[in-house]
Amino acid sequence: MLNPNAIECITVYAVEIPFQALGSRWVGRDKPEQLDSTVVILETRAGLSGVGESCPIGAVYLPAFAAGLRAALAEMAPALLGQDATQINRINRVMDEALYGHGYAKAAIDIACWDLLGQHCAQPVSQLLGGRFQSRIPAYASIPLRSPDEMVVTLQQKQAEGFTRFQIKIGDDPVVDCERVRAVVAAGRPGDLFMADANRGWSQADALRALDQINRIDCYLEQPCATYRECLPVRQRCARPFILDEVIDGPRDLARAIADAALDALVIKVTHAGGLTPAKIERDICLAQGIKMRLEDTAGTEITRAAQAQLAASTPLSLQLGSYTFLNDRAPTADGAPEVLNGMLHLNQAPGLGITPKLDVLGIPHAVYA
Amino acid sequence: MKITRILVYQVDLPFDRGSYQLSGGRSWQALDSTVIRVDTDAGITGWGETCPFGPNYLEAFARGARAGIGELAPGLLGQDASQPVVLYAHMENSMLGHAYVKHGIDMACWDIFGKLVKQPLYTLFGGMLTEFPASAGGIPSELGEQLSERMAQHRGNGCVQFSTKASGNPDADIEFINKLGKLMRPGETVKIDANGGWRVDQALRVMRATRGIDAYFEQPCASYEECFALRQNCDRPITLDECALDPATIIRGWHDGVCNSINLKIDRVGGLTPALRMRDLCSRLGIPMYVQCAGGSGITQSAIVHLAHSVAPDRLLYIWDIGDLTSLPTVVNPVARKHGRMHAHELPGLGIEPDGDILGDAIAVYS
Repeated sequence: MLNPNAIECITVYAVEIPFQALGSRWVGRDKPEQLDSTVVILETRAGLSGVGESCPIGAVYLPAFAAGLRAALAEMAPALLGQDATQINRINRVMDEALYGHGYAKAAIDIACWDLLGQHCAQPVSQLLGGRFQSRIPAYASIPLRSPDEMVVTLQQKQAEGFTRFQIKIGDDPVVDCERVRAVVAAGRPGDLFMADANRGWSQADALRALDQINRIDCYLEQPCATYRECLPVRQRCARPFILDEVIDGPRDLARAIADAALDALVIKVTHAGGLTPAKIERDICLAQGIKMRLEDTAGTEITRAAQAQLAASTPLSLQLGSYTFLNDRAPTADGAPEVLNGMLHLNQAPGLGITPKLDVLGIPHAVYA
Repeated sequence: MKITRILVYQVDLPFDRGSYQLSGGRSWQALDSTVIRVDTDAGITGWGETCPFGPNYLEAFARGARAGIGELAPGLLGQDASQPVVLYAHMENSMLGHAYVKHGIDMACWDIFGKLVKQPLYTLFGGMLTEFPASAGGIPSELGEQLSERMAQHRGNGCVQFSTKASGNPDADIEFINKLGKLMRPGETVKIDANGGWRVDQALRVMRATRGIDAYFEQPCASYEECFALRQNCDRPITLDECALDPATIIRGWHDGVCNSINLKIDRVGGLTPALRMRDLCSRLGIPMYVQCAGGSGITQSAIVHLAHSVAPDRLLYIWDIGDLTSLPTVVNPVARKHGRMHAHELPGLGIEPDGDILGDAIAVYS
């Protein structure tokens, strides 16, 4: 008998998103004007469909770019057609056999399979990821790298919108960076939480210079240097909780960082991890170690917002630093995505990712594999 | 010397001996190579090649190579092709990672630089230190007539290290290595390449059950951490390959005693520019090198030989002979081979002339 859950069609869409440069990654670099996001819709023989999204930030944030993502989908598609979409670990294995690495491309397929499995079981994805702890997730607001005064103004706007968790973008000149952090944190209200994110912008020496000041300010310090090895000596001299993000690439890196006591919090970006399946594994390791998490993603639209929120909903709030909003000035790619109200993401109870992709917005497919 | 045009060619490289197998049941029938031609406003043309070993050996695949060149090309047009190191920094600033893509473009720029100054690349790499680098003594992973023939052939060439692949099944590997040991003569060694296919416990079993055989173990386990765990429990020489991506890993491996030699694959580390830095680091740290690429044809072969020429004899182990895989040269003047040794042409740059009939028409042109 034919398997009703066999993947019969993979449709790939390209979606342009306005890009706002936030952090030090873009100092001295050409900024992309638009981000090029990839949305994947899987359809099974029985007629169920699932949606996933993966959106690299240009080509220099991570080793990931839109054209490479779509080339990877073309490479994997023949192996995926006919596979049972509800057998998610097997799908991941099939992808790993077809193509080494490129987790950011596999993520779009993996997320779509979770959406599909949720609908197959009539359960929200969070339920299948271990259970829903809460349907409201605190989001954080990112304050772009500007002058200290401008950054305080942005903080106040975001406070007025209801946010209480803030990321302060630094990673530029360490002296000015300390001024930025000091000014923004001084304008904080009781209960506000601050994360100073250098996005790998500092050399080890820059970071050690800045630490003298940072160590006296109530904030987290995030990803100061370009590599894990450069972050380690900084971490060992940092009196503030330490967040790692871009340099942790999968469970092996995470295990090493835990063994070295190199972090207090981890940023798990769903597509950087390779999808919800590997992100859940990293999440569970952090849970077991009492390591705090930001469950979020690189970039994207409503589909990305929904996927990260499902993971966050299935994770105890006590270990979460906040998710991201992914609000863009463009037509939504899906209905039903978590609403952003008073700095919180509000999830619905619908099955799967809880969203319905808007085909009119997705437009003409970039590629169809069937 | 501005880049005016980049042309991309696609060549299928069939394996002469049918399929090629690595541990864990990975198997390939052919490679999909991408040849890059870079034109400049001075009329000098450079050639490069990048050829992943299938899509599932390293984080590299042929479609990705072509997508990556498409990503980089617009930013490369108008850049000075005769300054490979400056151009490399520009590529790093335009695209993070994807070392194998940059490798192909970097190779073409070195070719241009060599032609500009009318020097063979080895001269620009620091000069000739090893005049006749020896090819690896590749042998099949099963007993039989072919094994004996290949061993005799390598012996005839003066090769004292054989090179073979592990299956990843420790019982089969123990049996084969022990039988192979009986065919080896005093002074001969064998390099067992597991391509990361053993778990730590399996690698330990193989090492313990093959005592007395003078074997090197290449990339016994998948990750650096696993190789390190193995190192702490074994006394056999370990060669790092797939997990040695950058100088930081070499430094760690040297400090931890895990890296007794390195398989310096030019494409894996991102091209000749980064490979030269790793060559220098390994030379100073006393780490001997195999010089290879994951895949490729006659263009790649020339890059390998030029780099190998620039490595001191006491640091150079063996080089990869593309003829192990395929006899399709893609060039009209392949590198000279004699008695298992190679020598680059005394011509400017890579010193090779691609075969237009084999390359066919460009599949993409950026100008």
